[in-house]
Amino acid sequence: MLLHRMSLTVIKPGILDTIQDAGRYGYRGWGINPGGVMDREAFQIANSLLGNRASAAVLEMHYPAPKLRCNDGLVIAITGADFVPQVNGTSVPLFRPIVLAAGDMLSFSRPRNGRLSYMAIKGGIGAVDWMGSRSTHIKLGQGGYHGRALRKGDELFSGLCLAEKVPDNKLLDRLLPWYAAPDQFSPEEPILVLPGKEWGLLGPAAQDIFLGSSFIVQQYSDRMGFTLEGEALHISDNYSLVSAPVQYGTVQLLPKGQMVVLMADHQTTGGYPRIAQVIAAHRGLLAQRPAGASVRFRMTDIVTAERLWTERQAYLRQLQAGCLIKWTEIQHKN
Amino acid sequence: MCIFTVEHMQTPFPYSIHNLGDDALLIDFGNQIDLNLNAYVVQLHEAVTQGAIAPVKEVVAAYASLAVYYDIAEAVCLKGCAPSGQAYVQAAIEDIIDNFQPSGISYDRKLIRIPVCYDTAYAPDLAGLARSSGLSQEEVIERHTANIYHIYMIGFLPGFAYMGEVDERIATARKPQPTVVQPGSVGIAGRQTGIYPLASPGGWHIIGRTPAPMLQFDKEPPCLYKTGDRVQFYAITPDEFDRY
Repeated sequence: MLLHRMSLTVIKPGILDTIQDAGRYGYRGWGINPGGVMDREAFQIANSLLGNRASAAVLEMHYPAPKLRCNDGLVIAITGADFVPQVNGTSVPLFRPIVLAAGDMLSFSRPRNGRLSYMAIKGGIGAVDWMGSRSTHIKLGQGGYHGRALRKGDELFSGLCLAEKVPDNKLLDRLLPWYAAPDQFSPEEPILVLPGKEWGLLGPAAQDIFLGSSFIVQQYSDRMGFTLEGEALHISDNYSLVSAPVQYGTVQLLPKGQMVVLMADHQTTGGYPRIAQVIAAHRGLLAQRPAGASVRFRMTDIVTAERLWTERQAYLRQLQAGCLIKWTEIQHKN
Repeated sequence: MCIFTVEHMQTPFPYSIHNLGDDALLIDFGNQIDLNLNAYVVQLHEAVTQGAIAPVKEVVAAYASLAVYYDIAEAVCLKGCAPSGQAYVQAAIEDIIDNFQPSGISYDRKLIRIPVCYDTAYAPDLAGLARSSGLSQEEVIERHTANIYHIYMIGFLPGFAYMGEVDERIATARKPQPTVVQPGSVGIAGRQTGIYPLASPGGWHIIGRTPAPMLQFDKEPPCLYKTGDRVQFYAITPDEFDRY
């Protein structure tokens, strides 16, 4: 039996297009960070829309985003930031499965909102599994697409085989008849945090600044960390810490009073005071703030943080189940 | 393999527990670099890992702290009458720590011997370090290869081991400005010594380079050593470096 693998070719690469999944766990003890998608919710929605396994690898794109040519019929879904995706020059919606035919060109015309756009392919994107994850570890050159960002001429294969062949697209419009309607990014929404281990090193005045002012995401922020600019936070003494574990969402205070929030590709340990921790449910919200966007922090508690996470996960499970039913219906019709 | 017994262990070390986000906990033993404390942390790392607390995904040891990363949804699911999923995981960890008996426990520690070429070509800071310490370059090399080092933790870069202690005479403050460091470089900062597995900006004084890869991408785990292991360096010639 022939295994038919569908593919897309990179006609023009974006500034940083990498294959990512939920991340690589179990190796932080060797200094290898989990990596993975920065916006987990957008990732989960993209895979759910296509009836993919929750762990299927996707393409994470920054703007400028790539131009891709479809080599065979396949189904994709684009979620996360709105870079105004177009197929052959015509705009197509986010958060909805799109059928592509051989020869179709997928491009992105401008960054309308957000920082990171995700594209999933029905069947998942075929990529190198390294240490239990297909996420690209750029520093080590491992995982994903040969351990690096996409370049011109690269070919992305879907993990699709005959068993789950795409429904005959002659019977369908380009857009499949279901979609997700997640909350739009609200650029004003405060980022909820828990107090970090060294929160107490900030005096009352610095704590007021942290919780009362807004900070701007700096230009050179990346997958390792977001540098925030704003009123400096001073701590009374020159506190020096022995290196200790950190986490995605750890807000570190640098010696000059500026903050860096550690993102998905962060170092596993750090020596700067950890003044706050962004809650898991809000990491994606922060990850979607582009350079120049403002960030306000608000303190929350563990019970609220856990409730927000479990509520979102419940919504995502419903979406996943609903989309699977839709796929089954379509496959039976054919 | 050799057996190492922790001596003069004061137990239990006082600790405090903090959140490290809503999906991790930090067990903190203070802010010091101390061999006995770190050996305790390494053994506790093992105990918490073996404790198999259901939501826990990963446990990481550092100088004087342990991080326990867990799955929020699972923790919330299992919390029962605990006020939060995090409180449930915290209680399970406290139970392990409070019942942990490290005194008299020996643990296996690998001794890894690592070749280092201390030739000028690979040691941009060796001459400077020799000058400031009042030793000859040969004496610096002798002292660096004489000690057996304990791996306190791995972090900063993948596979970067923080090891100590180096002989007092060759200890030196970190450089004020980081420079570009070549992969395999062996450096000193304070009483610590370390190996850069990858090219990186770094502030340590580079006194040699190893041709041995610290990271092995096709192995499980992908690194030559782990926290708590011991390392000794031995000097090799530039010829041996090239042929390695």
